[in-house]
Amino acid sequence: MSTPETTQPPHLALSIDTADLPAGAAPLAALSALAQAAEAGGATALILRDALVADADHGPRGLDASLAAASLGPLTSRLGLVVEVPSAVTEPFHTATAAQTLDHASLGRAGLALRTPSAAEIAASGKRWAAAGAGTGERALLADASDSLEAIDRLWESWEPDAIIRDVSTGRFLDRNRIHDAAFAGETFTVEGASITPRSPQGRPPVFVTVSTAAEAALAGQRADVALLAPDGGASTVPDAGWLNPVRALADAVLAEAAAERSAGATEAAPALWLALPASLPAATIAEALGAARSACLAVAGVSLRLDAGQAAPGAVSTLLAALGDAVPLPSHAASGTTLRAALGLSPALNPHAAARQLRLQEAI
Amino acid sequence: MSTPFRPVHLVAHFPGVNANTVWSAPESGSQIDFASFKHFAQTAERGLFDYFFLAEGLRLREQNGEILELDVAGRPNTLSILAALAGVTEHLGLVGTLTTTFNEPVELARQLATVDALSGGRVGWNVVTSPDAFHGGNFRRGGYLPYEERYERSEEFVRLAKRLWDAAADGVAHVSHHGKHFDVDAAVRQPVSPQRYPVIVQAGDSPAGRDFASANAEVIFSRHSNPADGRAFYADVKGRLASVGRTEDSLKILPGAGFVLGDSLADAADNAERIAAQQVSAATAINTIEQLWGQALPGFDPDGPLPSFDPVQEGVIRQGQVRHFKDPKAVADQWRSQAQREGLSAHQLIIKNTARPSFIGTPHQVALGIAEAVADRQSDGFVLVPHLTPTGLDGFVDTVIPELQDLGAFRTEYTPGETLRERLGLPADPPGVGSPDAAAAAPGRSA
Repeated sequence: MSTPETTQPPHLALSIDTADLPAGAAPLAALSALAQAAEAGGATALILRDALVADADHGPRGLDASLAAASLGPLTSRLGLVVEVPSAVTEPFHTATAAQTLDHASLGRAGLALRTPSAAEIAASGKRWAAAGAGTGERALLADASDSLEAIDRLWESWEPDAIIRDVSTGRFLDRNRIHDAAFAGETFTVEGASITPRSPQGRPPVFVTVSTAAEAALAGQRADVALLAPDGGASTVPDAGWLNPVRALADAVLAEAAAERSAGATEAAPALWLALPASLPAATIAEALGAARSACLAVAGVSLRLDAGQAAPGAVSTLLAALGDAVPLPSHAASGTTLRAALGLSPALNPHAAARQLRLQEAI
Repeated sequence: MSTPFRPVHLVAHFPGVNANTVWSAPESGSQIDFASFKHFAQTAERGLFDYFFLAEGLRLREQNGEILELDVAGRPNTLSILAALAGVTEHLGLVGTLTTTFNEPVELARQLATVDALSGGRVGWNVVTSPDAFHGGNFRRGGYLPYEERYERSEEFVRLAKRLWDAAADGVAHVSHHGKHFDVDAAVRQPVSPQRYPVIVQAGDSPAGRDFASANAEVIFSRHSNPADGRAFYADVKGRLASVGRTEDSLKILPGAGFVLGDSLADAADNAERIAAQQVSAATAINTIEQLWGQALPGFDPDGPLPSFDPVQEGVIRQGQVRHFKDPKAVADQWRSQAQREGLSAHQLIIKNTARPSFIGTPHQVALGIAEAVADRQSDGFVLVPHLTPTGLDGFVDTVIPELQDLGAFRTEYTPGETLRERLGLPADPPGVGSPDAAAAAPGRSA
């Protein structure tokens, strides 16, 4: 069975750890040159990988991803800016307002890639995790990540689009009836109030979840707009016949969870499936991997390529994207000013409170 | 050129969510669009200001359990807006308020180092505490911190943050800390902060706040803007520094100040009246009276007299903002006699009693007032709080800055590549560098 998506050119994202930027250069100059090369080369998004502490995968000089992305907002015009954030050791409230502010500063190009924290990140996070009284097993951390995304979503939706009324006749800047408390109560934490940040251009920046395990597949099925399928953490060197089976298993798990989650009449589409691959693979191999996945009836909508230390420079990015453009048809460039949701083919996020108000109005008529 | 004036330091306070920000005027722009922040910061940079400043409030203000509708609300994430501004400014310092209560040291130290690295050494941190459960409701731990422990946690937080910044600067891979408020084992992952530490700003005025300031702060954002209070506060704070081994120039005192310009003094005074009327709508006047009287006053006519009965204590609960009436009955008596004496309606009285800007006059008069206050050691400069977003600083930069420069009281260019700490004339070594506590970090070097 072939779905319409399989005929679309795949989206391409580049994923970097800012610790791999060339040493010695000013960080913002190096970062913006790389982002601009990615944008010029036709990438849909830049994914900024991150961790709170250094480990084998995360160098000791890495920048905070949300803030690095915010600095790129005004310096780019088409590129999606997706930031990786560990859950549990961060505050959902801060994560929500940081993504909203990135969305304001980039005029609608923010994305959020939430993942569960490592044991080392929990150890670095002070007493907060212990104070929450929660477990640190995979199940507890995934539950916290899911709760975090729910709380973040409620914060993103807490201001209706027209909550700012500037009504001089009554002296009211706001209409408080159009601002709604998050009122989130989960197993281990609550978030009471509304966001301090008014609704951002996209309303709901797209949520990415990297899927390497069945549990992550469940989280992606419930909450993600994009599931990044990475059977071995995205570090495959040569995708061969044996590579496709675990990819397929993860994809099936994501879609099954999504179907179960959405059977209750939700209007949201199932997550888009993307492959996560190393950027060190030859362009022809990446094209083959994509072709193999699509022939196996996987509706792969995009590829995220992980840049390693030697590749996190503008020249290497331009060369890589040019080679890929020859091997794989890439989507035509998004127009300047296009939101990431629009570039990904997601429909505009409708504010549920505003929609309910509209419904009540129609019923009254 | 010799001048009788001392160099003035100026800060551009983004008006945004201030009760005195005018939102009803045709020229009032968005408080949240990035274009507003960009315009305001680039104007401050054109005016050679020391730094941009953004305050923070982590919950929408409420009154009697309902979101307050009358004032501007809705602000960005502080760190994210500073990072975004780093990309559209080249010299301007970038300072924000961040609480030690609802952040954690490894994360926040890393975030501040990130913005310092992205901006090439232009970041400052206004350290505040936020003890109440109202703000805590938005965070994982709720209102967990007893009031008396808020500065204790803050001290431990800043000490640990300095160890993390030191570790990045000195190539130390691992930091462990086990104290009352934090248990941390961290393989350090953050850029080297070009300033080593961000410039530490402090705003609290309590005794604990003053102790914190004399140990840590490099700038005090003070509230003492009238000349006599300012002079006394300046002498008191600067006098404490020697006893903690610090020089007088290692701590700058910058009070908040408003300004209104005009073609003549009379014209400026007229403008100030007009702006005060814009700041205090009829609804805001009623709200202020309800706060003082401690109760809702349905049907109250703001064009008539003040209520004839006396206030009740603590009937109206404002949350998310410092409350300003200590003795409601005494204030009500004073307001009623003033209204009667001057023939003012309730609304007119509230307008009249709105805090007046510190500087009202022609550009030359305002420049002279600022330069003389600094020469008189009432302060080292001012945190200017315009009443309009985003254009509130435009006229000041176009007309007052040249006057200050003519007086020899303000820089005429930025020094290329200077850090915020250098711009403020602060010692190269911030408080805490080389302290016994920093030395205690040594065991971490082997980890």
